[in-house]
Amino acid sequence: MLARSVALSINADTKLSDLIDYDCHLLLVLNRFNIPLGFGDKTVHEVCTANHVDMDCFISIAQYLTNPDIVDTATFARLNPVSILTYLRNSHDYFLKRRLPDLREKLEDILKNAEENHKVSILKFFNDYSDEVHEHMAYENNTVFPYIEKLLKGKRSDGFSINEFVSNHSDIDEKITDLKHLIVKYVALPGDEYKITNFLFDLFLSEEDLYTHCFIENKALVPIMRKIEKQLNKA
Amino acid sequence: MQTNRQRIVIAESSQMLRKGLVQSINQLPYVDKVVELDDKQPIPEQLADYRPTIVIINPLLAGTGITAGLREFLNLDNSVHLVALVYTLFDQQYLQLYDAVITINDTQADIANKLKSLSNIKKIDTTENEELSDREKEILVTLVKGLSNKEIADYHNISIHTVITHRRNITRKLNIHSPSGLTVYAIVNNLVDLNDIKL
Ligand SMILES: [Fe+2]
Ligand SMILES: [Fe+2]
Repeated sequence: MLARSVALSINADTKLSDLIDYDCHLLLVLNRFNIPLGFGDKTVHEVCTANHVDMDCFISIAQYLTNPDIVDTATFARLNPVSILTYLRNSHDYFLKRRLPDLREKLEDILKNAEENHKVSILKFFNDYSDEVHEHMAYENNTVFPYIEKLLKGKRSDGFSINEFVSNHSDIDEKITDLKHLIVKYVALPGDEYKITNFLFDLFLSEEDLYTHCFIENKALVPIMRKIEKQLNKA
Repeated sequence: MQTNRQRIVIAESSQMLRKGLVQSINQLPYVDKVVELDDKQPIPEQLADYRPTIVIINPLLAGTGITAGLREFLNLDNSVHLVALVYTLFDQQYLQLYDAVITINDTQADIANKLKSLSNIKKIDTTENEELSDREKEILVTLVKGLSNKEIADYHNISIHTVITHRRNITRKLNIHSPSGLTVYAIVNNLVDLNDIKL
């Protein structure tokens, strides 16, 4: 979010606490790799080893999130699929169980004093969006990811392929962007401006977070799956 | 995190050239989406479906007869970067209409550098009046009531093509892209009544 003039190149010896200072969004990545706080002065390598985290995967994702410009996304295809799946599954959990309910609660709160028709239409908009995200992620959790796990065990399953996922895979951040614009530009909500600002911060963050989530699916998961499908087809 | 995302459209009739370019561009980290256009439909019509930030186009497809008003012809506002994809000699004066020029002799790194420097410049279109016109408001109302393009065209007695142009202008001006987002806009601006639409 903050424009930085100096890009940080992350490697095994980077101190994790420096990394978090550099870009606080990486805190979310720690959660998704189940890395607890309180790591003192440990390096990326030390923390990853202690928590059984795939370091290449951690560095690639952290590097992409902090300085996407210096990342060669072609290298994503070499990442370990199991680690990517863990990361994506944990992200889904976070969006569905934490982020969306939290946004909804905050939205209801800032709409408390709004005109009835504003309240009804905006909440309806959010609820529909939330259902959409649930559906999108449930499909990935229940159909796409298990398919990949099967592939990893060397089993091809008929009736599904990576191409099907690619053609079904839609953006899920568009409506969050719309909601952001609606509140910033078009709906004058009465009430606590700080709460509204707070909600907007969350929306901006969620938008970015969902966008990068999809990006990782498209530029890491998809090429990895393609590679495995190819190998199995040859065998 | 950074919000540098480029949506790139490539208009070039040689499929081989197009595919090659798509492949090298797709790997760039700031590229969100690359879309290929063919020459089966008029280019301006195809462009309307995407919201490109960069358009890479063979000047032959853009019409070499045009020396000015290229953006108007392609129906692109000033915020879009226009890049010429060139493999024959072109009049320098003509190429001045473009923000950058890619030639077929460019290496992958050359192309990456050119796009990188474009992607670092965010052009903001200041020429447009962002207020919806009365006509656009009327179209928006029929739109959020759930009418199809065909129905909207019949209702307002205009062509489907005009409906599509209006829709594009509405979403661009408001910066709201989902139909349900437009519905919320119409309700909070009292263009429609909550009871008139099935939410
Ligand atoms: Fe996902
Ligand atoms: Fe997804």
